[in-house]
Amino acid sequence: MTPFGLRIISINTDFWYKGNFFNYVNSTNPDNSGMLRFLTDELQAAEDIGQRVWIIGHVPAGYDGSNPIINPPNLFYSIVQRFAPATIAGIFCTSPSLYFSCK
Amino acid sequence: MLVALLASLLLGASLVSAQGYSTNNANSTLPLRGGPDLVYAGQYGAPPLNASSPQPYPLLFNSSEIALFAQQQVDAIIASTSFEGNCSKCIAAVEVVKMLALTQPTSVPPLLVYLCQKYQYADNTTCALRYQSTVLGAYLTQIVARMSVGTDDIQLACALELGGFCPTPKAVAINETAWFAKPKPANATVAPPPSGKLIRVIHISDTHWDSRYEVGAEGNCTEYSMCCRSDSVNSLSPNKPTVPAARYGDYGCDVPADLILSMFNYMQPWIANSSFAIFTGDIASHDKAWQLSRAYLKYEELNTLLTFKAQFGGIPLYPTLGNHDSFPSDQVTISFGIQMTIRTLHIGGLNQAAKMNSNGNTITTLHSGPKTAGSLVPQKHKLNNITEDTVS
Repeated sequence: MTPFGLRIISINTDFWYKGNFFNYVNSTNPDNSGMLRFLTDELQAAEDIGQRVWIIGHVPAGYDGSNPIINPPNLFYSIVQRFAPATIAGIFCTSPSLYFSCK
Repeated sequence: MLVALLASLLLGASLVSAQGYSTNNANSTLPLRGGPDLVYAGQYGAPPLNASSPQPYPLLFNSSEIALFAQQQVDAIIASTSFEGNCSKCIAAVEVVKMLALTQPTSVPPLLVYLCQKYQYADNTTCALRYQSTVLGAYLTQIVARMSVGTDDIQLACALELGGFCPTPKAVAINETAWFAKPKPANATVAPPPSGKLIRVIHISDTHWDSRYEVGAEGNCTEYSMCCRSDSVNSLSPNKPTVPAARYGDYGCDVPADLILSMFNYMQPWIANSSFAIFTGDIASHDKAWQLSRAYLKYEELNTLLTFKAQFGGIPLYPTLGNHDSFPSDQVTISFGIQMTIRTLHIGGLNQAAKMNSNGNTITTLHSGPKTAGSLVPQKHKLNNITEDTVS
């Protein structure tokens, strides 16, 4: 355990950003990059030792239709539902329009 | 009529005996009357089933003909009234571009420029510069070559990028039982009680330092969304800036050096009282695609991160990547072994730095795939190294 007991997981939200045109290949796979598998395994490891987690990223995963594609955020939601609020203590991000809009 | 026909046949039969009958058909009772012997069962000189015929050569078009035909097909698809709706048209048009990308990739960027201009996705100059092969054209060619209707790719692009012509495909169902190693514990539905101890954390984001910001340049430009550059112009006053860019920044612009420095100056007392900071991405400026370069991105990232290191002093900084932290902007892949994109803020490098720190008993795990996702536990380490990660 750390002095804070907090783990910070940094994810590359370009893997769901709709402006990343590489996301339009094999788009029915929600985790082409393997990043969400990594995130899930990290969260499981944290849960196993009672550690709490902040997730930091850039592009919000929300279904507002403006920023993300479909399937990776859908899986991310499942992950958040699985590990919040006991393990996931916060999700921080921004957006290309300069909002601190994650919650 | 029928009576006349029968009479004619009977009359003919009465005259034929001298004309002869088929020699190949023992049952023939009908006279040939000097005509050719008409055979049964393909015998006696009738060509066999496998008789070969001369074949035309496969059509071979030269590259400019292929490019032209592809362009004409896309135009024809868009103009056609035979498709059921614009979604079908969009998919069909992208398929044409895909096949061109598979067979003759160098012809795709010029086609993208043509289509961008003809269907007014941007002004003519932007189309010509943005989609040329040396800017985004070559990347897009690689991508469209690999897009498939079978995995919703083209539908998704038609929905989100090409004008909303298709409905957004539905999300695929997640098999949560298979995805998660363990089910959610029964007691995990509430957060653990707070310790009562407070820590102060600084969250900064989107610094977008513009190292090309020019004081006095047009701050209210009309031809592009980011102003305060030497080439920023307001079309109503092309020779004299209507809003000269101020030293400390202007609303329609990215961030000049003194605005970043004054922000950190203001933050110093809070930094001194904080345990750590997080940075949620976007270091580079919002440049036009054709003014970005790998060298420029690395320059912006390096100098911003060195500024962070200097200005945050003793507290650790935990960063994440924004869409502007790659070259080309927004473009990141790991999947295809396609050509190079670059992610400069490489958290693996930060991890290495943490491990090299003499105080760093840091527990870190690095995702071996994208290398841009990392799990970091706040400790006594701080930003002291920057590496880049090139995907090729």
